[in-house]
Amino acid sequence: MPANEEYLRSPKLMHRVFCGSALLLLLTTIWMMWADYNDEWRTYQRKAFHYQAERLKARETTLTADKQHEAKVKELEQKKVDATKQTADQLAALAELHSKFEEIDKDKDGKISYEDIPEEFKVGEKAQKFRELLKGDFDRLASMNPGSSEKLLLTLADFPTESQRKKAVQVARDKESNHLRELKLERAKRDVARADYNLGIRDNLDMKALEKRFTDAESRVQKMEVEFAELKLQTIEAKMSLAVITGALDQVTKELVAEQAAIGLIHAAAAKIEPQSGTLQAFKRSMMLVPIIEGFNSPERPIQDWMPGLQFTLGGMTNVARFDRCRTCHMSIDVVDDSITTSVAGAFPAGKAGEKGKFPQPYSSHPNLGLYLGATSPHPLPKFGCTVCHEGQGSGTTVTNASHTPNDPVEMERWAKDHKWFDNHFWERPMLPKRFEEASCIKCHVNVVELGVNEKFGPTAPKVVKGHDLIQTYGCFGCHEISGYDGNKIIGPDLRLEPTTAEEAAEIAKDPLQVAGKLRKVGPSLRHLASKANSGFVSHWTEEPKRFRPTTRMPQFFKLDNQSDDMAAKYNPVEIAAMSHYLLTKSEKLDTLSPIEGYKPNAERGRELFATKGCVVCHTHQDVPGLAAEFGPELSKVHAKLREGKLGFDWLYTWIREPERHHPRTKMPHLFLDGEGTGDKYVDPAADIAAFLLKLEGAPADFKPTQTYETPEVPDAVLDELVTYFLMKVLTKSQVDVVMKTGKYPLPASVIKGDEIELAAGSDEDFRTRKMSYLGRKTISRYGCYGCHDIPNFEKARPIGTALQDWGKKDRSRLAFEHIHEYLHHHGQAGLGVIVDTVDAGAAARLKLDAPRGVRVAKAKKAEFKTDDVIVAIDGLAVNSMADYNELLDRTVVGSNVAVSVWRNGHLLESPIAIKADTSMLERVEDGISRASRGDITNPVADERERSAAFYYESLTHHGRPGFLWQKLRQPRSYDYKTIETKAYDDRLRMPKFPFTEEEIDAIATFVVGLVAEPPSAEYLYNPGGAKGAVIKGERLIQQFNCSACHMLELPKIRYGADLESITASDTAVEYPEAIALLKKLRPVQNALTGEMKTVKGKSLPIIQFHGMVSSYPDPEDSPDEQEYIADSWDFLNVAGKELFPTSKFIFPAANLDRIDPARGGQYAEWLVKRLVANQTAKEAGLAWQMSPPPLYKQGTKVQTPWLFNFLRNPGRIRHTTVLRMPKFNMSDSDAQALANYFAAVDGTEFPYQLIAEREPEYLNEKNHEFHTAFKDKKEGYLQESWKMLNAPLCIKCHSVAGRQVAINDPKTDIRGPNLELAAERLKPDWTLLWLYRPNWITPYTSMPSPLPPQQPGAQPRFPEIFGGDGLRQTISLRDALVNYYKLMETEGKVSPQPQPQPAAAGGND
Amino acid sequence: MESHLQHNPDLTSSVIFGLGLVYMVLFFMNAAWVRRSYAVDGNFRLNLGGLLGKGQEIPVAAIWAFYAFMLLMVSIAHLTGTGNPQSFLLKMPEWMKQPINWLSDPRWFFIGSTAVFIGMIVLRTVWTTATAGWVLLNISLLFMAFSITDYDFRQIVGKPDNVPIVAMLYIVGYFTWLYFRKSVDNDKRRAEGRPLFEQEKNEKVLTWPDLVYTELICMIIVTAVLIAWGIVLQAPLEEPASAAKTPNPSKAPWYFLGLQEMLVYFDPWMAGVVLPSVILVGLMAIPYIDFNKLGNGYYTFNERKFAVSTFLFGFLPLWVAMIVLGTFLRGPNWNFFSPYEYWDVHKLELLNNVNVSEWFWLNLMNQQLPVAPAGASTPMQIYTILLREWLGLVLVVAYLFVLPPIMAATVFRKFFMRMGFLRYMVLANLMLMMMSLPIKMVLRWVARLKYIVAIPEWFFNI
Repeated sequence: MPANEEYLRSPKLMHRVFCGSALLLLLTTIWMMWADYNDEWRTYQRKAFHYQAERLKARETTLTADKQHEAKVKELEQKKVDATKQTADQLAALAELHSKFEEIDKDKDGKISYEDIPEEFKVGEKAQKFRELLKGDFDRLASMNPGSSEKLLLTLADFPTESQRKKAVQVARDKESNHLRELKLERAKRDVARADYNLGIRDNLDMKALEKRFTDAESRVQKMEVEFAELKLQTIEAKMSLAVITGALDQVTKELVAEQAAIGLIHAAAAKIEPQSGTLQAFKRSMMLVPIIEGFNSPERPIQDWMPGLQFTLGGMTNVARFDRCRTCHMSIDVVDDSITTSVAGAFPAGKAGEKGKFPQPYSSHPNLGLYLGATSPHPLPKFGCTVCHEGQGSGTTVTNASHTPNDPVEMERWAKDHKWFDNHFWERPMLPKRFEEASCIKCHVNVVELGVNEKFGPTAPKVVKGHDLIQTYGCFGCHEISGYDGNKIIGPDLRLEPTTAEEAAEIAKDPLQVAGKLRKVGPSLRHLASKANSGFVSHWTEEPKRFRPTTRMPQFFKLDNQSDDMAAKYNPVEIAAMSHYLLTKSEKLDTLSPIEGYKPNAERGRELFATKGCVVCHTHQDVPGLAAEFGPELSKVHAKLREGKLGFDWLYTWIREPERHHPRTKMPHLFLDGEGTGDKYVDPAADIAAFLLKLEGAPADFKPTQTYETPEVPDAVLDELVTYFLMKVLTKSQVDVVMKTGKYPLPASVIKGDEIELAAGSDEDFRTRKMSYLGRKTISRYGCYGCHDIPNFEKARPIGTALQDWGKKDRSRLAFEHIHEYLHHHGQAGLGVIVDTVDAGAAARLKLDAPRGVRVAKAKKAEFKTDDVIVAIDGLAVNSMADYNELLDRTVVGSNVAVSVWRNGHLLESPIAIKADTSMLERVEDGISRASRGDITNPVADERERSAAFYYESLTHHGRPGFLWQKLRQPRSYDYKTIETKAYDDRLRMPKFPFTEEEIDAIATFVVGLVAEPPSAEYLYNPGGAKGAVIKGERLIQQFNCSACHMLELPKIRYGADLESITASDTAVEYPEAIALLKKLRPVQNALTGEMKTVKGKSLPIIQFHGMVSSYPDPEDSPDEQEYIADSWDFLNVAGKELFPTSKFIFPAANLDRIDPARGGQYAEWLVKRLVANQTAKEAGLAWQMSPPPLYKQGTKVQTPWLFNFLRNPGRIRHTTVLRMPKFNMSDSDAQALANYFAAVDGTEFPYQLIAEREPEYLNEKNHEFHTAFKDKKEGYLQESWKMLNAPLCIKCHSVAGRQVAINDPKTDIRGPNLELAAERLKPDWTLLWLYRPNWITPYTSMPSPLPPQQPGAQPRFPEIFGGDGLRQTISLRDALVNYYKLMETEGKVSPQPQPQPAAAGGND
Repeated sequence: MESHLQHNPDLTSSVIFGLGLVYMVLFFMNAAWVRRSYAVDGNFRLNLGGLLGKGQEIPVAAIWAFYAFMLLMVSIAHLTGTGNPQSFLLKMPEWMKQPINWLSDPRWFFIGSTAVFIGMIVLRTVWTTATAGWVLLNISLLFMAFSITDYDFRQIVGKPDNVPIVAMLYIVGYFTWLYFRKSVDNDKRRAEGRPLFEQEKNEKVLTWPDLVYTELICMIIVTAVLIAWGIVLQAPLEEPASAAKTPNPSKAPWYFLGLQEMLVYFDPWMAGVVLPSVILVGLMAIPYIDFNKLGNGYYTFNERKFAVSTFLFGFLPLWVAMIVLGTFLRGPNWNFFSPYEYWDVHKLELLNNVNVSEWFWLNLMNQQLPVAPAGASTPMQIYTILLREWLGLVLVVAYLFVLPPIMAATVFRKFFMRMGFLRYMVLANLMLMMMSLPIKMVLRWVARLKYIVAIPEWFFNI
């Protein structure tokens, strides 16, 4: 049908619709552009630019306003004015010369030469003037190019005005550059010719023509090069002629510019970001930011960091390099504040929005640029980026896309509101929330310890270190292997048990693809359990360890959430009995020791020995209060658990005396508690301590435990039921029936692999015993007791738990959350089901309570309570305030019964209300989080606890790993909620409940979340060798062996506001200069001034700091004005130019104290010193210190590493003053080596070997020579003379030497020094010499006097016959004699004793 | 506050606010409808059972006005009630969810969609009026809005990926409605002897400007819509691709979900290769099979009952409904989940299905399945397999070769006469192929049937 003239729709309407749709498209397009222009990151960049510009402008203002700068600018400007005037004068002079020339030129017709210049310009005053004008240039030029000075003069004259001279320069320059252009062309031609020549050789062409072409080209180039050099020189000359006159002016201008350069740079930088409005720059900038145009070359752009070395696994498929766009929004993250030069600080300190001088995220700088991101930090930005530590989606450019993770649900809500945040669970590596920020450290820092103790940066990641330490302490790795190796490749921190048997260790050592674990089992060995405890106690303990010892680290396996049903009630006691049966019947015999026949142990003395022999270092006992040691178990109730009579006593005696008898790998050291004295004075410290611990009054055989335990009864039916149950898994029904009926196992023992071997083995045992053993062994296997304890027959058993080395990125769908939501809805929180209120005075009166105490029930959700009840105690512990109430509930085990004492109707209820402390976790979290978001919780710890609980709860409900872990550690069996009804009995969860607080769980979670088994490339792995590595290894061992409990490793640091004028420098005149030089070498001078100030009584005093000990504390009874501290410095100090030797005393008023940073370690030593002084064993603190474990301050400068190694392996007695001895630890050779190396490495000295130069012939020859030159009449050698010195009646008064014993007349006053025989191998020569100069420079409290200090002139010389009485020579000779002790003993040892004859016991050793 | 602590909250502030906007839009739509109704619908008499005596003449539009007013109230309640989502009352109650959940079981879903399909054809004159269409639209929108208050429904329907499916529901619905409306009109005209709509209102138009101009405008509008869509609904960032860990459920693109649903009932080679090929070939064959000269160039149903019903059966219950099922109702492990049910990976379904051969040999004959002895020759093996599967093979052969002649003799007698043997056989086989899906589904549900013929040795399962 042909088209007619009528349209379907009116064209007018169509046009309108078209117009409308076109407008719609335009609008959506604009919308699109607008949306792009308003990308989240752009808005951040805009604001960040603004902040940067603001900061630059502020800095510009500050710098401009700086007084010094202002003065300098003024001065330079004045100079400039002067210089301008001078230049004008010179120009006038020049004009004169020029007119003269013109005059001459009239005659000469433009051909003036030097000769034509009038004499007056060459010599005399005028010439002088010009020479001056040209200054050095005149002569310099003359020397460079003869005749040029004249030429210069002519040139100057030729072009008298500045513009002419400028033009001359321009002309010369043009000539030069034109020539260069041609030259370049010629050079290129020459290069082509050379290349053609070379190609010709390759192609075997006729070389003649080619060679000619090259030589021609080359000669042209040569010629032009020469010309070019000439032209270059001309330009220089022209420039100089320009410079000579304006030189001074130029100089001043330059200085002025330089002075303003910094400001200029800042100004330029600011102007680049925010140009002054109205300028072209501002217009350009605004144009660049116009939507669409900004797509081409905008200052706003994504900023990317690419780290090819840091890869991560993407979805298990492929490894990709990290591409971090974090800086797109966090633009100022690495901006260092360059106005501070003393330390590294961020230019934009982090803070809340609106805080002055602070910047909220994402505008702030990293809070620790010295450690992270900074160019000088160990983690520079270009190498590390962001996501390797923080995780998250590095390529995302919005808050949500980058997978930021809020730290708690309060923040989460805020983010959801502000940034449309949601948890993108598709990204398997969400950013670590702030609470886990330290987790990633362990990816590279696999040794972990350096994150806790670091000389330069301090504790950088204390939380993850705490988590690591908790895991080590509680032995999580016994069940959950945390392997740091994939084969022999390091993938993370290594926490594994050491091989149990020697064969296993040897096998691993042979295999190059395996690395053995290093950790000991944390629990005591149960191999000899029968000699220690009886079955009743073992059952009692196993069922609920806390019941016997509330501080125990042993977790609870029974009476937990999934054991409250009838089946568990029936089976658990039988399982426990079977376990103790197994442990006791399989127990191996222990050869116990006994005190000598008839020895009557003294418990009272034992108590003292318990304190002084070092037991309290690791153990607490309620009768020896003071030190809250947690390293070893609390011992107050030992008397209630051991076996009765001599058996129990002997076991304890043996354990105290030789712990390695009971357990070769125990951490308990051998304390050398050997019997001392003879006859009636014979004391056996171990027996006394045992008696003390056992509260023993009579003979060992009289020991009777104060508590008895019933052996649980085992009904045969239940035992059979369980045995049948487990047997059904390996045998058929009929086989099981036969076994149960006849007691004969159908398979021979040789083919049984599992625990059933107990049923087959030992047919001489009755069947019931075998069944018990079988069930016991089965139960031990199921619960994995051998993860912590050494148990017979479990030497090869593998850990039962999930390995954790990769848990941090475990697939969330593989975690069994089961019914945990439903559980936490109604359970999971230790609460009483009431809402409480504080009791105020009014309420107290109304409730007829004597005083406002306890908490009032505001709303009771459980029938046991009524409104207006007042809770006054929980489990007998008083509740006085809300804080008490909360704290007591926090400590309560969820689901356990508590006794609540209640005040009701005007009197206390007769019996407390017993109630299960179990309420809804959800309610707690909801309540806590709403209080936290309102800011109702004032205590920051409580606030953090509630936020943290809410975080984990939220994580749990969204199937997060942290939440899972948290609940697993809080209530491990709660995941069995409502599942035990439908699953098999032995499928129930078995993880025990550890006594962790929520804070501890948080720390452990931080560590475990960081275990990702994702090794960064080798360059990132921090596993150093050398000194750094030795320090790391040593720190770990120090922790392991608790060294720092006895020994101070760092002395306390004392800081106070000092009146500098009252401090007097040490008198150097009374010391040998050599001694001071040596002191400076061994103890470099420390600057005591901190640069900080402290205001005391309105006066601002500089704070000084030093390492040392407070020898006297303020007496609280004194008036505040008289209270003062006395402190000894151990450092060689420089206080504002005054040098103070170590041992200087500082006395200052108590008000001046800034703070005392406590010592690192040595708590026991400090405690012991106080105790010794208090009970008058020592007269004063100095002497008490000599009796106590010494501080190991700068130990590396003191002892020789090989000696220390031997000493650690087998510590001998050194000091005779101490009340206890260094114990012998169960240390392997490599441990002892590492520890010995540690001390040297920490103090920066050489290890493991040290050269003793004083023993070398070079040194001795020189000394001999010097000696014979000085004392010509001496026939003997230097060393022989030294030997005489050593044996002179000086050292030998206190020290045994050369087999001569020291006579101690009164042990109270006479102090016996260490045997000097030890010095040669033990001490470093430099240290020894310093010690001989001034012992108290090294150890302020020592009793050793300075043997040979400098004497007053004219004083009677000491030992004039030795080295002519020269004290310095004598001191050095003493040292040399000590160093060469063995050599001298060989040659001189038999020399009859010197002046005071002593009975010499040859070779005697004390 | 605390919505993140709530596990899967049914209502959040933003959901309530969004619904407020939806109801507001609905209010405006219905306000416009009131105007139309006032002009078109006239009055009805209301006597309230004699309360108003003889009654009162009330415009129909008043009901719409009342409805629109209610919508406005509901909208305001939503827009002002965002403060405390947990205690907001206007949400789908559990008693409403239960029957819907129950009805959406795949069996009922299929039966229901077939029933709706039949009802749609039977009641075509009723539901194609403008008012009925408007009521249906309102009901569906209200249902959607009300269902959104359920967390699980929202999760799956509100997913940005699934927006096209929701759009598809309305688009397919609209065009089906439009077709039936026009067909009913034409059929009525035919019955009354009036000229067809297309003849009476000659719609032949000029290419320019009527066609091209319209197309251009459509193009522009669609572009604008796509841009707006792209800005508002950002593509979600999902997990990195991994062969080690595939998403659960792994879903095909939405347009292939019908095929994926077939995989539940058929062996992959059937569902993935044979049936899709048959669908394509079948669609191509339609012009050659179609002998009905009527219905060209105009809408009609009565003149093409067989063609339209068959096509729509294949398209609506067997294709679109399968896509809807696959999108909204298939969850983790390809388990079936009701619209208001949480997608819990722990849900298990009984999947122990049996083959015909197993049923025959094990249950009926109480014998072991025939197995060729070890080392048997190839003919022997073939024999054993055929013996094992004889019943299934017979059934399949009968279905494909015996059923067409029977049908030709009975229900398709007329067709056979007019089409001739070849064309008829093609039609019959295509029909049978199409019907094999519902048949297989019913057999699965009723008899837990896995395969009719199961020869895994040759990768041949039917």
